[in-house]
Amino acid sequence: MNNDAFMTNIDLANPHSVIHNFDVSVIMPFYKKLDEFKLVLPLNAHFFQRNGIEVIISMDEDSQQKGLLLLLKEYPFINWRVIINHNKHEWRNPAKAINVGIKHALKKYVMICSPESEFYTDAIHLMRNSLEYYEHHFAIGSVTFDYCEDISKLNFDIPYGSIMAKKSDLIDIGGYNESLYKWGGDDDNIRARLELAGIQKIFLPEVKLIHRDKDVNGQKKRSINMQSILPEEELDIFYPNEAKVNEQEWGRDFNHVIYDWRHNPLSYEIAEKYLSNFERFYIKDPKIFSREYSRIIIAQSFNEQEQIADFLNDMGLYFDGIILLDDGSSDDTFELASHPKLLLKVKKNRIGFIDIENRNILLDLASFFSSEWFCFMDTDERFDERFVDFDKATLDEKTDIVLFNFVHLWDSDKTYNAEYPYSKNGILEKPRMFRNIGHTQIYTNKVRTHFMVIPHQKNCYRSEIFYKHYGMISQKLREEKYTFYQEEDINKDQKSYEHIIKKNPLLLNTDDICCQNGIFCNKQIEREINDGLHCLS
Amino acid sequence: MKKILFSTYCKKTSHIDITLGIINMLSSSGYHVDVLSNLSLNIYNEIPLEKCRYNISSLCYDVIIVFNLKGYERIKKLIIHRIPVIYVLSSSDVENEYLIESNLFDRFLLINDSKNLYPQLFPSEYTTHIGYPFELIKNNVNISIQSNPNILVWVDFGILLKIIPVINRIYKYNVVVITDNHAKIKKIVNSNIEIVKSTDTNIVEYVNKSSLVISHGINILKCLQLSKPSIILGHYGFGRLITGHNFEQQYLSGFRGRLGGEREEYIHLNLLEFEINKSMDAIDTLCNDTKNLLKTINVRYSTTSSIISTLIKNVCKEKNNIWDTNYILGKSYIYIERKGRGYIVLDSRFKKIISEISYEGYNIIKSFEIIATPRSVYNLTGYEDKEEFIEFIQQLITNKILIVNE
Repeated sequence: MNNDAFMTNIDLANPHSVIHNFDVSVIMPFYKKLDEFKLVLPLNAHFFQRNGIEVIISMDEDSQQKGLLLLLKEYPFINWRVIINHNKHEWRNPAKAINVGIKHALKKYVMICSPESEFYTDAIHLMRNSLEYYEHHFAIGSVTFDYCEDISKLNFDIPYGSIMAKKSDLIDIGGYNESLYKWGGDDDNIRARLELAGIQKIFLPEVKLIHRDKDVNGQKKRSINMQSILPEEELDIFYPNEAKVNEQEWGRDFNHVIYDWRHNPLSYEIAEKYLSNFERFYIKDPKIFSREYSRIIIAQSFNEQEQIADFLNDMGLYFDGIILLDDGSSDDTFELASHPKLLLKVKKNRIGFIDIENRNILLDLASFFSSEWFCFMDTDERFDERFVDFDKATLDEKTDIVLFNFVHLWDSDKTYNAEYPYSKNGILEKPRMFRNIGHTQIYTNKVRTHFMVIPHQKNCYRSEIFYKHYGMISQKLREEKYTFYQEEDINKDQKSYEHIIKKNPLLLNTDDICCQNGIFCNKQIEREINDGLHCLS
Repeated sequence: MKKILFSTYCKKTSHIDITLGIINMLSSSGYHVDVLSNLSLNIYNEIPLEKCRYNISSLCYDVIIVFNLKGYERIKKLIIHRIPVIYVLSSSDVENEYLIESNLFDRFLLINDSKNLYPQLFPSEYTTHIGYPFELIKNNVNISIQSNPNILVWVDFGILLKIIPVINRIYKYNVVVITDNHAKIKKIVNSNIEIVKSTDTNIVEYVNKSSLVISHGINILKCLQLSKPSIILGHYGFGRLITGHNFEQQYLSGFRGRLGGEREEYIHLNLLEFEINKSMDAIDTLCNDTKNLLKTINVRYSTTSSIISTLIKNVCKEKNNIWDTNYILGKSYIYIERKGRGYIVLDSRFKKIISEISYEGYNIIKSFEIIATPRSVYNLTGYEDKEEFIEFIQQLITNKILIVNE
């Protein structure tokens, strides 16, 4: 199944759609299921490789560790975490392994499913979407066991196989019942206890998983296992008297994290492989992939040899690192791009200006680095040193996006266009800096350009950071830009560019820009408004 | 002595019981209660209907309690913001009696909440739950000891039909089934099963003679009064044997079935049968346990009474001393910035826009993200106009943007 079918135009146009940040940890308890996992992962990968999804493999024994890591390397853009149990033991109920996953989960929602489950439909999207509207609920889907190859004969009539709930709800009830050790009952019990705690169930029959089992005796074994559960045990499983279990410390049965997307030990290896697809690249030092950063600039350039050094100097003042993508410059931009904080520069072949492609490549590159924040800036933008309090902007843990304010410089570096469309007397704002939630991409219904340049958009903070855009500072540049967009924006992602070549707009002085209570304004205009003399907007 | 105006509108017998129960609890807690009712309750403080329309002033009351929508509508013109209002309703009446405008009252008092109601409708911040019936144990009940083990099945017809296979299998015991549909059931049960009409006046005797009861709802309490171990089986599924562990939650949900269950959900008949057999095997122990449970249940009445008293004390205290009461930001609202124009306040339960506030107003609201008193926030924000500030705070409290931190 192709996930694109579930990324509708409504989703793409809606900045609050879950597709921009699923905020889901998919937990898989793993006991010697590598063969089955290899079978289904190629089919499931595109469901996992989306914004805000991390996949936690809670490996309950370590004999297949090497094989698993080899497999995961082939999917570098899935946000993997692997926690491993080095104690040798026979198969046991996955409750403990699942609880380890729950305790390690970073996202708001948790989905539990088997590593051998193939997603016949987009279970993650369907469940996550339903829970977006149903606050105090958990979602379950259906499953079939593949005893026949003919998919059309499959019956998805068993309401099991997957569950999605808020991590906090699972924590409140003590997770899965760790006293269960036999096969079965863990999922029935968690549902019964969630309901006991007042969390209601949503059954989504459209969520369909196929349980791929290589063991030809799987069904028989499952029947035998089910019969071995005593009625007394069944009673406590299906009809528990208390919602909360595991009074003692739970989810700590094992704790060794061998792979974590936040600090990926294989980043350099994976990055090298990815970069080999490009025309040229430069890595400052392999150690850059193992360091931790606070904020990194990600930028693209095209024929900016005059500006590139100045741009890198300016960015280097406020950021720990810079990643540069050169969009096939015909001048010396790539060669001249040099700075102590330039971590990585890459040159690609250019087939026209496809902004969305460039930004998504930059997001791919960013995913190799362990940084708390990333920030898109263009080479014709410079920060205003009066307004650069980045620490304040990133102080609140709840902030995920930081809005910057800016103006378009016009005719000189002291004046800006006060009549620019959608501005407040020439001052505009854009979300530019975003918290690292793992590998992401920008999803948009625009074809090439003029889209929101950040991959996820919730929890915005209006900062006191200000930059100036130099890209239209002169008449010549404005005419070039106008011509450029007329040629490149063939899909009319923006309807009009006439404002770029508009003659004699009102110009205001950048020195008069001030910030009051977090709102940027122009002192001159404020004075005139207060005097009742003039109103522009 | 605090004075309470209780405006009640009764549509069914249980409403009358609830009304009288609340009045009794309030009176025995030392409150003076004046009652407005659509039915004559024959109690001493009942206000004649003709008087209530013209001559009542809410100013002489400390608290107003209303039961059901019409109970509220009757006196809504009398309500002024200084007098706290408690809105009482039963969970089974939510569809008809729910009052959406949360700014019209201070607290919900919700009876028999099963947690199946949307929490959005009853945010925990301003909802208090109590169980019903209020008086669980009557004194001077004769409990007889039976020699032959006997199971009593006392459930609604629809539930009874589902469990006939189980009843027919428990052939070791005598089974008595109480039902409206005597003739139909008789044809599908085994000979060891006795069918009794539910209109039979000797039902209590049948309960008395039984060892174990399978029932639901208020009938469970009647059985517990007689120290009968009881298994809950109702429209919300199989609720298991009542024990000290699950009694409280079952009571609050009206003994309607499985805790967290869905209406008419699947019943694991094998597990029901297992529970019945297991209970009968240990029936003597269970009888003793149930007698011990009675002692716990006995205090339930005074617990409910004290819950209501505490609620009244708290709402009065809040109204009398807003300035130094601890408040915290309620969770029912979201604030969305409109650039340069302030904030929109959105009711997060229904995603409805409630109002707009200025940046200054938002800063005041934000100060209550951690527990604070209006006095401390006033000092912190340095707001100039004190009266305007107090009025703003009052609005925030009325609209439940600020919630008392108890």
